[in-house]
Amino acid sequence: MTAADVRAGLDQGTDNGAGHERASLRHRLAERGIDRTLLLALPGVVAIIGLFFYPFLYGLQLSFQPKTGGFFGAYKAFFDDPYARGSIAKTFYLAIPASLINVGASVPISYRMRREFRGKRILLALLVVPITLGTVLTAEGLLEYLGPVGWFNKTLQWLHLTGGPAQLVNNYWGVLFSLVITGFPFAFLLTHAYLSGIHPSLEAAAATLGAGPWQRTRHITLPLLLPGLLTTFCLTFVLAFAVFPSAQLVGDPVGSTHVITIEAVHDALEEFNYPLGSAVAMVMTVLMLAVIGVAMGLRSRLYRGSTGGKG
Amino acid sequence: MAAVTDLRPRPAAGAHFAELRLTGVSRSFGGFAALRPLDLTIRGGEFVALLGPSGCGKSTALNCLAGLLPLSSGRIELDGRRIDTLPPEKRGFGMVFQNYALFPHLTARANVAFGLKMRKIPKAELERRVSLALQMTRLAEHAHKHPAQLSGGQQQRVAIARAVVLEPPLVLMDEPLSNLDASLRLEMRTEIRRIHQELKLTTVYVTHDQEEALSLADRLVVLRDGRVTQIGTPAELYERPASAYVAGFMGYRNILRLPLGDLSTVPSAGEPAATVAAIRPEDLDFAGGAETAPADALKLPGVVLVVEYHGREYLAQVEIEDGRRLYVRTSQRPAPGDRVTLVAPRSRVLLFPGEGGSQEGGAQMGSAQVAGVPEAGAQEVGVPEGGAQ
Amino acid sequence: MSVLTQEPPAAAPESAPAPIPAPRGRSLIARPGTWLVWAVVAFFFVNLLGLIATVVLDSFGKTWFGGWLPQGWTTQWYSEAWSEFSLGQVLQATAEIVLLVLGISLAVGVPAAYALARRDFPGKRFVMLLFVLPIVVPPMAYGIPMATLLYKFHLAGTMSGVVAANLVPSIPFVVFTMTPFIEQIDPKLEAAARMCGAPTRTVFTRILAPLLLPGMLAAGILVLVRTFGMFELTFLTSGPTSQTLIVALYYAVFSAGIRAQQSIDAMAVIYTGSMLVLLLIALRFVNPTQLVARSADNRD
Repeated sequence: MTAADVRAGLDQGTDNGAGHERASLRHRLAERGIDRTLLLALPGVVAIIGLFFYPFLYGLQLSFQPKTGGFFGAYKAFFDDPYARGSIAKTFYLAIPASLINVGASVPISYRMRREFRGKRILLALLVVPITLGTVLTAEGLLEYLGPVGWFNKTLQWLHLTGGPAQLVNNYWGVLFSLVITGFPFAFLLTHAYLSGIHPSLEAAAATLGAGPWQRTRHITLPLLLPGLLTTFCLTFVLAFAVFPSAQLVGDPVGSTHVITIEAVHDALEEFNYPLGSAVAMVMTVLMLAVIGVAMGLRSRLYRGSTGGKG
Repeated sequence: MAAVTDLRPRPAAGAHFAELRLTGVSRSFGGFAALRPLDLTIRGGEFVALLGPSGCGKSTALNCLAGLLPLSSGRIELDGRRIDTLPPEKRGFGMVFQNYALFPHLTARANVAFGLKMRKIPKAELERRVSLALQMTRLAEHAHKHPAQLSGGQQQRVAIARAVVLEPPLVLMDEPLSNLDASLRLEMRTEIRRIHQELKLTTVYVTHDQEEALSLADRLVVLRDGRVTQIGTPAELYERPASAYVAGFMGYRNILRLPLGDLSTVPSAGEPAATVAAIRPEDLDFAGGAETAPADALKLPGVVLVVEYHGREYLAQVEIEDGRRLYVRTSQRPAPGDRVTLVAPRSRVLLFPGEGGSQEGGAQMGSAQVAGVPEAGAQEVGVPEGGAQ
Repeated sequence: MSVLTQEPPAAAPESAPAPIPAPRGRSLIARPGTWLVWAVVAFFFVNLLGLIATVVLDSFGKTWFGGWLPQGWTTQWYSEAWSEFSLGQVLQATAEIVLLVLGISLAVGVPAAYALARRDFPGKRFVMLLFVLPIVVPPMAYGIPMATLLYKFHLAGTMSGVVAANLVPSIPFVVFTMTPFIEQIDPKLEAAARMCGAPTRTVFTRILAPLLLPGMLAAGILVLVRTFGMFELTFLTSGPTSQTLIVALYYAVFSAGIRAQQSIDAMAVIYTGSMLVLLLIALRFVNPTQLVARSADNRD
């Protein structure tokens, strides 16, 4: 029905001159792709607006309605408290190095894994494991594994790399480890996908033109990979910036890993200060958007088109 | 168009080398032989076409020449110097890829300049040569554009300019025209020929289009399933194909098993018997046509099935008495259903050993094809021995 | 002139229509770079395996005071964990939540994907953006306002609240997984069915549905795996009776002082085991990248 409508609409779309009525509104709309099929999307759109945008806007509005302090009271309360606002720096201090490590390590490793080799599929499947197991399990496991009597420390001492057990849990390092274990596979899979999208004929062409391996990387592969790397960095950073369970479980949630999510959850769910909690959530969102904005801005200056090798 | 200056700093025609010799070059992987031992000597300045259907090994041979694939056996020598041990970046050959492989993030000018940049050619010289190459391929106004902004034909020309600007001793082309539409293909074919004539760079050209190969090449190498079936000049291949397979490529569209008409399989001393006849549609005509057929012409009565109008002539499909169909090009005007007699001069009916139309002759041609003389695979060309009954 | 190089034997053969081979490096003489890369990868997996193994072994150990292995083995911790953490009820709640999310997101997402795949309308990009944001914005950022709202509507801590929260990333996920899938189904198939006289309902049930099934299976499994492991949203919106396993595990670890570590580990093993089973099932139908793909492809 709808398909036939569209066709009928197209037929009648052109004005047949005086004496013919204009095509009905339905047909004209159908020409532009608007017909009853769009109703199929309505539940989804309504759901997202109701479940995502509405709460978000509600939270935004709520953040400007604290019990005390006027319009900006909640934000003021947050920024005036050194402990609270310190969470921003602590979060960045975790998120940036973790993202750089994850993305940085993914490049040479993806490079090495460009060609097909036996077991590549298994390797990729294994890499998915930490992502699906998730942050909670990783944190839990790390608590024991990196603990003072855990295998990691035992091995370090056995190899005489340290005298006594190193303090790797309940501090910054535990959280960093956790972020790398859950974040690296994700960054790797993305980088690998981007790298594979660069058609091998481009490097072959560069080789026939006299470019050695390093020159090929520098002039062809890296420039074409960079936009994808920036995207990967953004996505990895977003994940790291929103760190929560590992900061609580294997970090020092009231000290060096008092990240911004902990602050927000504390305000909203423990103190029941919803305006403040929402305000902190908004601050977090704005900060993330700022970093993404910078990265995407850099990216827009690069060639971002197809790397398929054709044209 | 402005007169084009020769790109090379020294005035001279002639190529950079005297001969490029491939000896026993083969490539197999995982038990599959993509290319069987190939012997070929290419003279400097020659335009050699590798012709065959997909999977015949022609692209493999080209990639081996380029250094993109390692050889399983054999040697490649340039004026006596072994080059098959060199990686592609050290061979200095230019290559035009089937998908052009233009660097999408660089402008056309930067693409063309890339090879010179890798060689660290000084800037002024680089600019000069790039401008000349762009001029020669008529891309001067498009030099600042990125490949995505160029049409297919323009991309093609950038790829060619990029390969020839280096004045490499050898230019390799891997089916460069296959992605273009028909009219553009013809135009670009002439371009390639023109560039070859001006620069006289030795070229190895891979294609599956026999028309392209015939019109561009000085010599053709016909491949099948990794083996060479014939090497020769276009004329040699056209007039004296070495096997039914090659004949099929050269426009001998009617390939039929004997007996055919009054031709039949005749064993000859010491050689495989001819079992297949090949006739070009142009060499067939209807009896009673403008030219009277020679008395001993091959005659095949039949019925016209389908007629196609081709402007100056007609292409007719005729079913002969034993039920098989032949294609005929004629200036007479047949109608479907007409009873006709096809005639062909016996000298234009080629006979080959081997079965059907899809297999080559008995003897393997491989190594003996060096200087371009087709081996004795096409037997009794034209004249059936004692066969006329 | 360099040494004759050989293609590494593990390289897959080129397929018959010779594709462009990439230039090979010197692979016989393994460069330090290669060894370093493989060393790093190995190190990663060793540690990953180590942390999982620690948890597994501890859950089966009688006690573990500091040696390389526990002293003695037992399965008591599993039964203890089951009762201590009400795992029966937790697993049931998890199953209900996950299946509800799965069902609703498919029911809502697949038609939406169909509309987006088949129609190009003004504002389409806006609608796509609408669906992208919930995947890209981290759950913490919108979860807190959402928790606030649920509290306001007295839905905080209820199963409906948890399901509603988990729908937010799941519906767009289904939409983005199914849209390219539907785009690949030739619209002419539907036209052909109509030309043969089929009414719309028949077109959907007899032509489209069978073709959509593989895609829906893939999308469904992905939603299943993600929701099962989705921590933040459920944490922010759940109450004691509507926790999923992952949230229960978190609370157990968080308040670990009182409980035996081994029973917590037993719970963790149960979680890991369930997740790995789901993962194995998922990997039969989807490739690894799809499991974690965010809207990366849509952003570019």
